[in-house]
Amino acid sequence: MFGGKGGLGKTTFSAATAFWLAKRGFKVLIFSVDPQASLSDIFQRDIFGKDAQEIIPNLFAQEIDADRRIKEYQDEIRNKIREKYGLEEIPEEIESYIQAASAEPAMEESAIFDAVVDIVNTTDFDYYIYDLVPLGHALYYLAMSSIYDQWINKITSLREEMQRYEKVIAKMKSEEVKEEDEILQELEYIKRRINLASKIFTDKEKTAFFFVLTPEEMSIIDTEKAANLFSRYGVPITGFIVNRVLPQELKKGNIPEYLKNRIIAQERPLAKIREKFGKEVLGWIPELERDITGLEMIERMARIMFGDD
Amino acid sequence: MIKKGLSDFFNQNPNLKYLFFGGKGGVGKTVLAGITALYLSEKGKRVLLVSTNPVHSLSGLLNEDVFGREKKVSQTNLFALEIDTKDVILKKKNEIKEKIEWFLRFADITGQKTEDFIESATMNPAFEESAMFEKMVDLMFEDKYEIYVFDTAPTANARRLLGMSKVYTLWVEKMLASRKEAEELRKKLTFTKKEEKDPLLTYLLSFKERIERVHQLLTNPSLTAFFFVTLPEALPIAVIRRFIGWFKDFGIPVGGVIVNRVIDKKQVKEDAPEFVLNRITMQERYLNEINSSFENVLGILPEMANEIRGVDKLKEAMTYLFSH
Repeated sequence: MFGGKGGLGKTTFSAATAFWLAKRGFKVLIFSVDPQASLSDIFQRDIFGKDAQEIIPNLFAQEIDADRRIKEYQDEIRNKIREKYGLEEIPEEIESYIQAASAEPAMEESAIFDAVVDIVNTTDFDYYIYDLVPLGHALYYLAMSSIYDQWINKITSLREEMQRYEKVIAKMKSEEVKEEDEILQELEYIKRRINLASKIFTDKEKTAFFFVLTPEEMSIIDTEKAANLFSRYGVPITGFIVNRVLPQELKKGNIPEYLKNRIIAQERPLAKIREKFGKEVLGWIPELERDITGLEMIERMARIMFGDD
Repeated sequence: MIKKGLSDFFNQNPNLKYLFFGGKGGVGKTVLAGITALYLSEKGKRVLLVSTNPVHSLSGLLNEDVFGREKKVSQTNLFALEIDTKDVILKKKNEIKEKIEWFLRFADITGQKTEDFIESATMNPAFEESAMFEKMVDLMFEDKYEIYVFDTAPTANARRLLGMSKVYTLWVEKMLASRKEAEELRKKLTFTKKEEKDPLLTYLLSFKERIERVHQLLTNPSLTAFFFVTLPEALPIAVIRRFIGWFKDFGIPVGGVIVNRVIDKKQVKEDAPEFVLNRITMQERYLNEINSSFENVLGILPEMANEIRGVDKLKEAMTYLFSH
């Protein structure tokens, strides 16, 4: 997984890493839930909302359409209601409830969360590369897993208590006790899934989390903040990648003022990064003369990141 | 490329009050929001620059800690604030707690379990986002400033943030319907003829009004403008093209497009290294694309000699952006 603020090169590094692994014979899936949907842009192919698409042999890419996931949810709920109550039609008030609930932000979050869990659970790739949404959101997901967990525990224990009461009342009325509480089961199921997802996020053995930053004061400040938050949520950071480092030899040429200043301006932040993250920096990636789109540029970036083998 | 510059835009829309900046991460939304807010404050307006981003960078930009409280930025007439959701969430929790407790008493439910019930009602994961939105609305309604400039989170959030007003209305209407039903039922069941006002109902009604008011403000083109920031590069262009479409669907007024970090060709000599010449070639191609894709490019901010941080640098950048 690649984390860091938006616009620092997460998608680029994800794509280049996926490309490199695929070239070495591993079956790779790169996927994204970012509504900014830049995988389509970087591979120059419209893959939004489709199943995993093969880009080159062994390299599959998928962009999840959260809105469509939500629609699927709604249909699932409608079917459940129809089956349970043997209805032909969904009553109007229930229908409007389903509609409104789907517009809730929480719904989108959980649809995305579900998609991630589904993909990892139901497919069999050697590597999954997750082009993470901007940092705030990423932390949100991570925080969510523990919050949901608490939330569901709470509801579950409340329901269990109610079940006990119901049993007592049922006994008093000498009625049959329903053995199964479907809602409780449903909650348990959700809880299992969430735990699974948070395991994916926090398993040091299987998950590597790379943090992208650039040699600018603000980027360093943001990264430190983020790194602290990550450790609070128990997410291990594998290492840092420094992007957009300007080649020093440019200074020798006849270059515009802004570029000269930028090269000089990078010196201090670069020193700061060495001092703060030193050993944990896995790569210093130079600024290229053009943006990274299309396979040719992705391949070039992969060579820069991993060498020429 | 620029038919009408930013200063013209503000001259022609003198009543603008709510400004938002959207675009892909890393294109410089905070910087452009900062420059614009500073410009308007120098024109004598009382301006509040607000960060609604879950990951704030405003304090970093201004070299001043504005987290959690409105503060006048030194050497300016500008006020700035990074919204802190922690206090809002706590406040909201307490409000909800009071309401729920009142309702439970009202419904003759007593017992130990109310705490748990309240906890689970307020632990909803989408709570923080709503809190941010609420705080934004609070600021708008306080009406202490003539202009509010929101440095929004990457646009996906912005879209949801604004789209949420519709959602709230749906929710509230639903709640209202069920509360009314409950009240009818209560009237039928109770023996006392005492009319009791249901405060939750009153609250929901005022909440609904509030949401409708926000929606009105946000969709009024003489009050609200949404600016989209891009770089002369493929991905940021693709992103704002997508988003402008979305916002038009929402009926939210798009003010225009601002292009950031454009290299000044005059500064590039013919014997410059390949690296620089290639960059210029790429930039030209994308500037043409921007020009043919968007009819309302309002400003171009050149690649600055130094990182824009602090008031002096913002002022320097302002001369470029508002000189047209």
